[in-house]
Amino acid sequence: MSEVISVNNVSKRFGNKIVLDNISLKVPSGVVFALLGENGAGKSTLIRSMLGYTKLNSGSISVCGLDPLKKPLEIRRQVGYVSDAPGLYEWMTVAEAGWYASGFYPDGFLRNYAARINEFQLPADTKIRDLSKGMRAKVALSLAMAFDPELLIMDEPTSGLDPLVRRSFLESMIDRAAAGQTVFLSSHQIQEVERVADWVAILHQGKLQIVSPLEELKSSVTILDLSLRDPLLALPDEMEQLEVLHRIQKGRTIHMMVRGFTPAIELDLSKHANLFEIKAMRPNLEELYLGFTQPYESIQARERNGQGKSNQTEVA
Amino acid sequence: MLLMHQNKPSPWGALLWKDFLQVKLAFLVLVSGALCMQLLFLTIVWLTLDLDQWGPFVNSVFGLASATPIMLALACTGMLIGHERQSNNWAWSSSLPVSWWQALLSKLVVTTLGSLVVSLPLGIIPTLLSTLQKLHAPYGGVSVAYYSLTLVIFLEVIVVCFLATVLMRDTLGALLAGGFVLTFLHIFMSLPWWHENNWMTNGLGISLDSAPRFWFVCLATFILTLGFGLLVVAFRWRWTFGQQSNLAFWQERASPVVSGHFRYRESSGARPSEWWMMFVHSLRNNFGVGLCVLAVQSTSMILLLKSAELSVLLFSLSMLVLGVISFQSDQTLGRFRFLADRGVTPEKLVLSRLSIALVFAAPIYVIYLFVYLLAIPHLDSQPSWFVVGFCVGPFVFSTGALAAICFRKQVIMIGVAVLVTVLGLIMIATLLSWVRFDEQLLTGNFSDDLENRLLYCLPFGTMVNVFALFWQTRRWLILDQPKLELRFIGISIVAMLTPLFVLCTFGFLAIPSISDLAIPSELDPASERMVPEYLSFSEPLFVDACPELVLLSRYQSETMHMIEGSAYEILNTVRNEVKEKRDQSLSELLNPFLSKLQSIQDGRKVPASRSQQVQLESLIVRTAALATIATKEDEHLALKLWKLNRDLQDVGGKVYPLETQAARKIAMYLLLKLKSTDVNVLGGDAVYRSLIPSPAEERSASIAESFAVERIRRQQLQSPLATSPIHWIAVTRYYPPMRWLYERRLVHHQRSQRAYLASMPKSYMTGELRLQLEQRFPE
Repeated sequence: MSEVISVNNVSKRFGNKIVLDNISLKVPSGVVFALLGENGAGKSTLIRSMLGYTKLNSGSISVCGLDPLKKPLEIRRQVGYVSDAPGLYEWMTVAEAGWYASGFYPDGFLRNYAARINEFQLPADTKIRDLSKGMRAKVALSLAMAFDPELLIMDEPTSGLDPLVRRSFLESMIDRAAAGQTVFLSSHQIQEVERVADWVAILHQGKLQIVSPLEELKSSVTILDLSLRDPLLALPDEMEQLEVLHRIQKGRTIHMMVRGFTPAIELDLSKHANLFEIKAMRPNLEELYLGFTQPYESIQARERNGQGKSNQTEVA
Repeated sequence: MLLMHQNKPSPWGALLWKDFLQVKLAFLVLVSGALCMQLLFLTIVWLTLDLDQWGPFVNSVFGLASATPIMLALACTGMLIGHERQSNNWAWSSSLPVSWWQALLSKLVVTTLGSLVVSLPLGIIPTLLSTLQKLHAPYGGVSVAYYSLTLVIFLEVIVVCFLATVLMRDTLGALLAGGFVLTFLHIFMSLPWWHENNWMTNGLGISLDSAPRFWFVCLATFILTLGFGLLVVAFRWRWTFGQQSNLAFWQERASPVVSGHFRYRESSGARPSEWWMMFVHSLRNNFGVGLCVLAVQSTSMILLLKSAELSVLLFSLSMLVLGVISFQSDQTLGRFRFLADRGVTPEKLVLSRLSIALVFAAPIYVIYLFVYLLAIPHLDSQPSWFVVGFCVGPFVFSTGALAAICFRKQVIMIGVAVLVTVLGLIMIATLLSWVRFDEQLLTGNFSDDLENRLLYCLPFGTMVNVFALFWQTRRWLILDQPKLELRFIGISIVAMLTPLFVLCTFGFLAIPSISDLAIPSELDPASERMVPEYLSFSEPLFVDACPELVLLSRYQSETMHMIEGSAYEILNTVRNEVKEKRDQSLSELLNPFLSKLQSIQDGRKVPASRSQQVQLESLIVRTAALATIATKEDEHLALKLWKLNRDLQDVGGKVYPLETQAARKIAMYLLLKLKSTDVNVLGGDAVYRSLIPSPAEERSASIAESFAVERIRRQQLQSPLATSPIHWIAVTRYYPPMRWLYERRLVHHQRSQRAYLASMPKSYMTGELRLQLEQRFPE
């Protein structure tokens, strides 16, 4: 599988603040790739770097085999981009916006655009300023997809869309991936991303926590709910074999997200006297996201500093 | 679907189409506004001035049309760069496969071509008038060098403003910063000519003197090239990597130190008051632009030291900008809702915004005062300009603030504020000179206190605007996205008419009663006849007013003490006849008077006594003054009167200084009023020689030639004469106080004339009288 996007050791700093810290990832073609992260994690900066809008302090990026800093126009001819705040000209009508954009793309743009706005049920003769926020997002999506790009990069594409359109839009992403095209999107709608994403990357405070195919990630991580007889006693030694990604202790119950949990370890734990109940389950994407953005080390550090006195509020 | 049948545009076609439509509204508003203004001026002048007088005046007014391309260039800069960046269109455009140089070139082409093309429709009326020989050819006689220099400066304005707008996020601040840089550069460029009188105009590049042209063009071209280079670099950076960079004056930084500081203050109970926060917020909104206005004002004032008119114009413009910025940040950033949700009252909002804007206005007033004090020794115009600036400034300020409340787009709010202000000032100027349009406001020559009072009534218009500010702000805070555009128009009209209403309705309070009038005891006995005349004016006589009557009244009041009894009686009879026989022409009515004059002249001998000499002098002055009046109606009558005047001077011999000073002046004045054809019919250039008093030593061909040259020059620079408000009588029928005001004005005029006569020295036949005559009957 060839790579559409290749990010190698990318770092970006705004003043003293490190926004991207040595990021490396590769996006294979023909997949829906979801970039997750909290506000200010660096998602938009990474996307803008892919399009040549941001100069990097170090590292390199290749999009469709092109360097965005050297060939920005070629990249924009091949990549459809929807920003989180698409600044369409408000005085244009929906049709005029398409007509204007078609001047910069090959033939067929207008036909595709007309089909899209028909699909989204957008009024062609209405000015953009008279459209709702969701309808504007649909226009932006139609414009980005009208030239049938090899790669579609979207920053929060579904914000403002109603559930029906969102579902239909996400399903169309799957169709695109099935047709061999690549979709790279960042979103906060984790549950919806989970339905469509083949690959997922989680960015936290400028650092890449994980890049992995979603199913592979889900299968490698386990959520454990342990019920203790005595919370003051130490956990069994078998637990040290696990990589703890996330942990919350509430009374006699410990909620953990671990990596490397095997049936053998489960068997050993079940024999431990202090544990009277063990529940192991596969996490969903939201739990994974929380696990990677609230890592165990940071919780431990906060506990050491006395900030995490309450054993109920670490996740919140 | 229609889209499928449309042809795909070329990249250039799409870009130019988009950029043109982006500025289409500004284009239409400016062109239609300028055309309306041309037609308005034309109508006013047509209604109030004689055909022979209004040509040069209209020519100078149409010169204003040349400012329209500059205004459009500024509007294009604001819309194509500032507005695109603020509304995030820039980000979407740059996400399309458009290169930065294509985008820049398209914007430059639309701005430059649009600004130049806008001159075409504005040139239609001047060209038409020129063809009809009502007007000198527009911009005729201007050298190619001047055109090229104008073009260079025009391009300089575009490039510098583009550069400033690309670099800064706030459009208004950027345009002001660009203006400051441009002004500073021009001052710098004009330094080599500091020792010359016209160094300022050279610095601005508006001098027609070609001496320093080469170096100036070189420097301007260098600056233009440098500016263009910087623009290319800045635009490329902003189009690619610099989209998120902010070069604002005041950057918000949420550093941990600041956060900790606020947390500390909050926990310690020293929380800032709401008033304080509103003031700080307002200061942060306006700090950059306010500084720019201050910088531009202080720098430009140096250039304008010798021009009171431009100083007032710039001062008014600064006030307008300060008014606009007081609310434009809240408006464009949509902060009204935010503030309303936090319980901010309209009073707090308006007062905090206005007070900060006034903080910047105060030093501008001080600069204005300082410059004025510096400039007074050099000023030809009267000090009234200072008063104009002080009265107009607050009105313009409040208009700008109101526009910022009522319109959302920055460019539109500024454009509308400028348009309303200009129209308002035109109307005020028209009303200021009381239903006749002359250059009183433009020259600062206020001779009549009553007219000044309309100026002093302007604060009432300002009060209307300020009251409306509170009212409209309340609507902003209560309603969601209210539409206030139509309200702005209504309020502006009310604000503009309020000063007139106040003056008409309450102006009587400013008129002293008859008993209060001090009658100087040293008045010439003849002038006492004036008193019953003055009293007779207290009855409404507007209905009877006509040009002849007004002119005769003036004539009487000014020369009555010089008129001997019998002639005065005849003149008084004529005046009464004018009242009754309004259809008769002045020449017919004056015939008996002229016959009397002729008989007096025929029987006149060389004065042997002082009293005879005084009578002769009075006749000379009277005939000259009458001839001046007659030029408004009948040039041949004027010529006849002047010949009478000359004959009277012949009788007097050389004893009159008037024969070589005032007489020549009046003769020249009369000749200037005659058409070329009249002069030719009367004998061509020989007329000049024949009209010069025979004893005069200057009667020579060279003098006649100088007259001819002077005549041509004056025809080009002629100013309008003050004429009768006959065309405006109908207007006053709708509002009686207006008519009463007019009557009071006539009374006041008579009173001032009487005071003038009382103060006039006995040596009225000297050059002093000549000066007074020139003031009474301006060219």
